[in-house]
Amino acid sequence: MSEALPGVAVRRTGRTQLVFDGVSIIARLVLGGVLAAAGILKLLESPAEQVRAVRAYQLLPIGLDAVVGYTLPFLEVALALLLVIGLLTRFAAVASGLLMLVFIAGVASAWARGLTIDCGCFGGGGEVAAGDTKYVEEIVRDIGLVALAAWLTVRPGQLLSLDGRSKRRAAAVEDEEG
Amino acid sequence: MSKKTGTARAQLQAQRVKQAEAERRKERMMRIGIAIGVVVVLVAIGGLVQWQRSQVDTDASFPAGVAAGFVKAGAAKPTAGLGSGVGVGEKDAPVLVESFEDFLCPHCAEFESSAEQTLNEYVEKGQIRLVYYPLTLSGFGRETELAANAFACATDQGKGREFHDALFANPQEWTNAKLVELGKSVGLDSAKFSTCVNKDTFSEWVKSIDQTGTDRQVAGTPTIFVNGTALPEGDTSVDGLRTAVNAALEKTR
Repeated sequence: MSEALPGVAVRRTGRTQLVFDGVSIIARLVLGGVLAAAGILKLLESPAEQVRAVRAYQLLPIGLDAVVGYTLPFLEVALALLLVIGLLTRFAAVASGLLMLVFIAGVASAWARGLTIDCGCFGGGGEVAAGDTKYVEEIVRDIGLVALAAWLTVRPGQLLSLDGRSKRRAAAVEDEEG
Repeated sequence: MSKKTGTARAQLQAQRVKQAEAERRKERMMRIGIAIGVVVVLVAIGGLVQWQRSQVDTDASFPAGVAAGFVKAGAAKPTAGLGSGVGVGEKDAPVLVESFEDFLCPHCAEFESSAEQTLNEYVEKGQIRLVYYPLTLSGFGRETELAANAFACATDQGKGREFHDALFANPQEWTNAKLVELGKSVGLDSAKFSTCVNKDTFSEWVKSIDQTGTDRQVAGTPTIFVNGTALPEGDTSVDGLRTAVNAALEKTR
């Protein structure tokens, strides 16, 4: 099995590959870590507060905002878990990236409509005084996270991940059979 | 080895590779499908748990002195109970002022230090009925929940307003012992009050107030409603309050 299979990229030279894999691991841990923190900090608060934080955006109809308020922290924790253990990394990266784009859209829309709210990204949320908004920081942070998600979508990486482990195992089985 | 069989073998080999590739792709899709399913189910269960957590025990006790919130003219007045704030002043005063505040939120304390006197004056003149909703924001921790419960206990003993004002005058990291002490300063020295504070008697009512805040679309504290209309965001000043109340009084004349 030394020749490249059709559709499988030729292996990069060892060192570049290692650097790319390293970046992917860091991206997984940072993106996963931020998502985990966001989800867990929200779960430490009361569910009613989550709904209030969503409602502060004045985007969703009553009822739907409660659904988002109740479920979002779990979605964040689930994606974080997948990223950190490296299971279905590409899927988790795409989902996280889309989630971040939704957050960016939400914050930008609140900003554009002249609302003065905290994004509630890590718990909290709701109205703040006019001078206390952090829209720029919030959007820049989320853009950074989208970039990490994009990197992982292209290069999920194999090192220190369950994806890599199962792939290596499959390859080993194939080698034996071959 | 003839050329023909060689090509056939190569074709067979290519087909096999293609098949293996298709199988692998199918397996990958299945794994992603299963993962999405598992994530969706877990997230849904989590959401249900949160919903359950937000439910208030409908048999729970509430303090004497709760008042129904604002309803449009002509609509039936709901019975006060869980989820209702604490009413102060004459029941049929022309204007209803409702305040959603957290006893430990600095902006609320600021607002109270400037507006409390104005509000109390309106109450004493019989011009407004004031309803307090003690929100408990998680950011202020367990302390604010204890304070809200103690406020309910004080209300139950007929000293709601005094205790409310005392709480805002001394924001601090409340413990039940400190709250019992504070009660003494406004003349609450009965065993009933301290038992109520220590037993967290009205904790479900406190939770129900949080729910009311959500239902009323309160997005921050302090939020003040004058006859059902919230004072503009970020402009809860005494002047704004006075303007709104006077305009509402004008309308009733």
